[in-house]
Amino acid sequence: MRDIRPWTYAALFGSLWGAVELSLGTVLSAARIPFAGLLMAAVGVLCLVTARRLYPAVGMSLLMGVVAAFLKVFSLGGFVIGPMTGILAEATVVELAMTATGSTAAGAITGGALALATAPLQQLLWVLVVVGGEGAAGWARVLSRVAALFGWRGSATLQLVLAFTGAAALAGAVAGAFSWRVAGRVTRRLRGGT
Amino acid sequence: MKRLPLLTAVVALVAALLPSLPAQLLGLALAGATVLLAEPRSFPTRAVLHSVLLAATAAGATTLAVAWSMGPQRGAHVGLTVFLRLLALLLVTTVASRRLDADDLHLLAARLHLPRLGLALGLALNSLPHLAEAGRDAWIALAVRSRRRRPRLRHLPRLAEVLLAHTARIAEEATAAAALRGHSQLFRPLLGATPVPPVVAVVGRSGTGKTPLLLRCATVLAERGYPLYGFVQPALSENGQKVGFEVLDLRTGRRALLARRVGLEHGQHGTQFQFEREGFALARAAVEAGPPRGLLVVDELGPVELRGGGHWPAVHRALSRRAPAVVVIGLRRHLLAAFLAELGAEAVTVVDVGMGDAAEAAVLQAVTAAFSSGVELPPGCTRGNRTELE
Repeated sequence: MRDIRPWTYAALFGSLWGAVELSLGTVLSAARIPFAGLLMAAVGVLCLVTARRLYPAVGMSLLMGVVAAFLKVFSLGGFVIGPMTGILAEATVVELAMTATGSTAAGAITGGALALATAPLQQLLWVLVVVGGEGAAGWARVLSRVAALFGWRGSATLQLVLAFTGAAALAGAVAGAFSWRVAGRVTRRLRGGT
Repeated sequence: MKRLPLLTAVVALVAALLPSLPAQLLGLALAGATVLLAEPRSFPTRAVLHSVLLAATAAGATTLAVAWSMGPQRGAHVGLTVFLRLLALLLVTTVASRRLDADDLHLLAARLHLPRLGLALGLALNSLPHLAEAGRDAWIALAVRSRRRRPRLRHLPRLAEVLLAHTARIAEEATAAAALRGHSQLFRPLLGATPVPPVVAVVGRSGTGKTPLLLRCATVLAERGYPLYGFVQPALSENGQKVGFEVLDLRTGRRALLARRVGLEHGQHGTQFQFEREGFALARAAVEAGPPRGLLVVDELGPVELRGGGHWPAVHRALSRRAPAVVVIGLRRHLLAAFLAELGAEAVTVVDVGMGDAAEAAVLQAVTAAFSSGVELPPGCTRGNRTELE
């Protein structure tokens, strides 16, 4: 990028995203609020889509992810590798979606869906890394046994993961569309000088 | 972090993730060594205890789950693996988050030949307090407006909108500040070593009359015999609404459509307009066909040109090949600093279109002064080198 603006926009919007991760993200995580990861991913989509709509430069979303992940290092609680990789993964998929669609509303919706869908997959990946293949297989069997108690036969783990990922993607598409709308309002606010 | 703790941390992470119990034990031992090496004087007891508790909880849950589904022996083995691996990861990341600071990352980025990334990270860190303050102010303002102690849930989109707009404004200010400082690492002037003639910048907000002013000045200057060339961009209106722009070649009087308004959704380059090749071609011909050492008029340069697009390649070529004696540019005030830095201009006269009737006289006098130095400028008009103006 030759122009200076993508760097400043990425720095500032990445900083805003990182600030929300540091404050709200830490509180939600410490309070063990369910679906905190999805909520934070939606906040990330809002920042990513707005910055991209204001300044549609290729590579900016990725740079924002690097900035937000960097700020996550200063988070309380120590274990930040998971959230950091989550932020980077989210920024990468939004970057790909927005670049492929030329920073349009379709890109925002697709990017939002992919970003929120990666959140459970990324958590699953981390479980796999930490507990290993054997541990993950053990947890999968537990899930299958619990599902069987409720009369749910077959590959319950896979179905549950797919169902949850699908629901997250749907929520992400809504978050992407909402973010595009908010970004439009921000653009008008800036152009109007209010 | 210093080199030895960094090395032990990396080896600890790799060893902890290997699928063998001795490697995981080595990983934990190295993670412990990293803590001692990184913080020899103040052992982070609370952080370590927190890590041990978290790892033990996760390992306990996994042990129970795997023991129930695959037998107790397997459960114990997997539980131990989880404990060793997770504890090593937690210790290393805890130390990293305590020891790593902005300067370290800045230095690392510089070593990796990514100075722009380092500066962006520094800017992000520095702007955190401003953003936190803006967030607090926006929260209070919303609460006051809704006459409640806290804003309602339905007010959150408005809060987000205000915060995002504020962030964009800070980004613009940061851009201008970096441009004003001529930040060598963030910013590379487009013109390189090309000598830049004196610049007369006519500034004002969009729709305040920059183009009519430049057109009047161009007419007078051409009548006075100045070797004038270049283009202006008069607005096209329908029923009192601005619907586009055309390019007017000041030497030949030829016109071509440059842009038509299509709305924000369908606009190009982040604008409300769709641009036409004919307009750019005429503008290019207008700036490239002028006499050497002439008076170049360019109306206008905007955000697209600041990104190196639009009219910029043609203007760049004209400045390097035609070597005009004076350049008159129309542009929006908030882009002035960035453009001056882009141009690398030193002798600059800024005329604000808001000066009214005096603005025309100021432009004419500034051009005359630039061609033959020694003429005084009228009050309200600024002239000097770039640093003074900034």
